[in-house]
Amino acid sequence: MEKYNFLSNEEITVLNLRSIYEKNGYHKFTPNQFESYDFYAKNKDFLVGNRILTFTDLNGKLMALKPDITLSIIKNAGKNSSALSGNERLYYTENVYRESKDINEFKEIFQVGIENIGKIDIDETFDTVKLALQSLFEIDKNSKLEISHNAYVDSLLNFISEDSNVKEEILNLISHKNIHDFKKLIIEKNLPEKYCDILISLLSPGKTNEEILSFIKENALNNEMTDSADELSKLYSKAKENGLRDYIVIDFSLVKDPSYYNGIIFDGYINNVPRNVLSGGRYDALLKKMEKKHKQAIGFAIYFDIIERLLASEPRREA
Amino acid sequence: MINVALPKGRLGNRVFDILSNAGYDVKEMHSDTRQLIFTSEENGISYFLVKPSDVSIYVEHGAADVGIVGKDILLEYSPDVYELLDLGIGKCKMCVASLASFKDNPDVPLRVATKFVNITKNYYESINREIEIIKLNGSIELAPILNLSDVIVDIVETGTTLKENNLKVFTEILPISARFIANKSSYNFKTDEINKMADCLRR
Repeated sequence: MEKYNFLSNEEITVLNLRSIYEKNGYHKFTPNQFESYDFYAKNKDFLVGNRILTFTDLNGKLMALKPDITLSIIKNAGKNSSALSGNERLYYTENVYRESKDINEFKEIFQVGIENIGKIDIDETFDTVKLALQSLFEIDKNSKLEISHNAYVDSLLNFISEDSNVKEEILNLISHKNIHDFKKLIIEKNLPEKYCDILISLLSPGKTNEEILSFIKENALNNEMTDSADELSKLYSKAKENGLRDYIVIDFSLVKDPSYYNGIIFDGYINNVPRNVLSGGRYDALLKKMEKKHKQAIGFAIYFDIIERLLASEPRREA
Repeated sequence: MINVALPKGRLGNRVFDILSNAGYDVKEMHSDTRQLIFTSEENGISYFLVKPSDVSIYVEHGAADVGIVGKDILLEYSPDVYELLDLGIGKCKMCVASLASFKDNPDVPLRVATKFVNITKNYYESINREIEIIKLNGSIELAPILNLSDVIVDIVETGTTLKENNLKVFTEILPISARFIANKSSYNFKTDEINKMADCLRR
């Protein structure tokens, strides 16, 4: 590779990630440059941030610069000839355009991600989690993958309250590990203590992965929660068998919008990088919304805007 | 090594006292100095003294692993951090206040002067009252006196400042206290250290 020794660490990392995905049977997906604005407006809640960068094309149609790639992939799912047999496995290396909270302006963000669409069983789920970890290791070995189960939390919330506003408030408290304000909310809204105690235990610090897994199994309130607990246990066993145990943190404070994510979800962190660099999960609920009911999907994206500084500060990498 | 963002002032001093007694001591911090960073390699701790409203920024961006910050700041800026503990100190209230003679006329939008734009918006949205926000950075109490606004939304601790300026609390919006927050990434890599510190502060 001496011929290419002008490549930056970021470019080398992208090439290495592509090589990992290609070896695992993923094919590159290149979306259209622009999508119609309506397409995103319909699925606004799925997007990170509320604003979409729009322009009017030469025919007077309102168009958008892509704020997300997953939606484009799902829209085209099943149209690819390779999808006739088995799952569609796609990866992308694309720019997306999102608002930046910090500077209150639009920002171009480079993302690399994969999507696995078709039938998702525990093996497919583990393969995706393994690829997520391999991707993190490619960036930095000192990384952790937080894993949770959205359907388990969603079921538990349904026992706690029927009011969607209250549920949203609780989700927000969960995501901040905020037990003290949740306890106040229990009194204020007269929430059922029995179920709330399960959530409080789940969020309380100091439990090992194994302890959390046996706790969620013991405290499952219906079949759905039992299935979710089993799925998470199986995934963790597989990770352990593959020597990945130390890189996994089971943490139920990780929550994502349940109207899109309905299963195993995960976020990837790298030591000394302040925010999650990877975000992913199972999103059958989104497929349902986009009228692809018979399909399931799981995937993740890596945010290069968060790691570009880390990569640039390191000595040159090997391709 | 654990990096702590402390708010300059009384609250920060109080939290430092608790932590130093629990073994997180840095000797230099007991002396009168204008230094802003205090580190003790031996005790594995580093303190930064920052403006109270900036604490959550340092923590969210990972410059500090943990920090002590008022709930008002967390509600106003919604930083993406873990809020691990309510310290139950630095207590005060977010209030609507105005001149004692003020009477609300619902036919016109209410003019509200405040530092806390988001808290104010959320509160008046929740009671369906149309408002005009006047964002100020200090001496909020002046606004109703000079007829810059009808009311103010601000933190009230003892109420002395309000009284001295002939102002009266109209509504208490929410109680405020100091919180112990942690950066989400730091929490994953320094889990035990951060939980241990939270335990010390819980007592």
